[in-house]
Amino acid sequence: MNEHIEQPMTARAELAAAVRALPERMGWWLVPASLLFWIVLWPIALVAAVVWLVARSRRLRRLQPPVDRRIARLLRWYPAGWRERYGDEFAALLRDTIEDGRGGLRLSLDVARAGLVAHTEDGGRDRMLAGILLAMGWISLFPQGLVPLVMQLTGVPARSWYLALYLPQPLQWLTAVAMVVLGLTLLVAGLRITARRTPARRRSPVH
Amino acid sequence: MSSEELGGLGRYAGPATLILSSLADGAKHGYALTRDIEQFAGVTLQPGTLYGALSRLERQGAIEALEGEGRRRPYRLTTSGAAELQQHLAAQRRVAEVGLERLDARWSPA
Repeated sequence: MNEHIEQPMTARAELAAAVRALPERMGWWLVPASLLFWIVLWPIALVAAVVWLVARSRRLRRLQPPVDRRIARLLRWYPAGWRERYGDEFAALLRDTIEDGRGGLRLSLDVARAGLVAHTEDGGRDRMLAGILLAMGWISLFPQGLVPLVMQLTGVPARSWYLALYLPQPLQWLTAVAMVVLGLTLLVAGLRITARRTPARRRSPVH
Repeated sequence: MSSEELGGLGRYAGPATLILSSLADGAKHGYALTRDIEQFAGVTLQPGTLYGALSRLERQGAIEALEGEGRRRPYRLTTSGAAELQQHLAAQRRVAEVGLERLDARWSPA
């Protein structure tokens, strides 16, 4: 019982002693400087940044007519390469269509669908595959492979979501090592697809 | 079948055929293409659909982009695009002729 009561008291006393010792260890000016920074300067800077960002976005909204904002939003459905090639002329067509009174929901849905299709045609399938491989590879290598290995070595008891640590003891090492191998394989495959795509993306259509 | 319903058949012609047919009488930019296709086929191609088909046709070499008029860029049919369109429409015409002949023979009003 006593231990339970004394432990937090001791910890509190240690903390108080450490705080008292700070000026001697780090210099007398550290405490007021820290207080000044965290209580005064940092909140002022944060508030100023938020106010500036809000004012800026309002100013931009006032400068940009609603049609331009809508066109910019619609163009975001397309991949960057496509926008670079067709963006200007497509924006002109969107403007003509909207100004002609045909800018309803049907237009938005059509542009969204066509934009997503353009992603799949712009090497999107490869990019998606590479993304999945890299993500799965990273998960296999680090959280499911190396982290459980380190936890095994250091004897940390938490099992969390580490698959290997839920298995019987002999299988724990094997699973963690298998996850490392799987993770490395997936990462290499993902990186190879990314590397293969890079030169192709640089080729833009000649006009 | 009324003439309006017949006009509705135009929506089954693919955007590519409609675009190539529109460009067969000269270069046009996106909005002019949309209006022309509306007039001769009764189909409104939405901008996303139009540019999806335009970019594919350009990749295939069936059409080519010309220098822009401001931000609008006209497209024109290439020689190979014209040949493809000719071939495709001739095949469509054969289908249409056979279909119409058979309709006349068995389904014409007495």
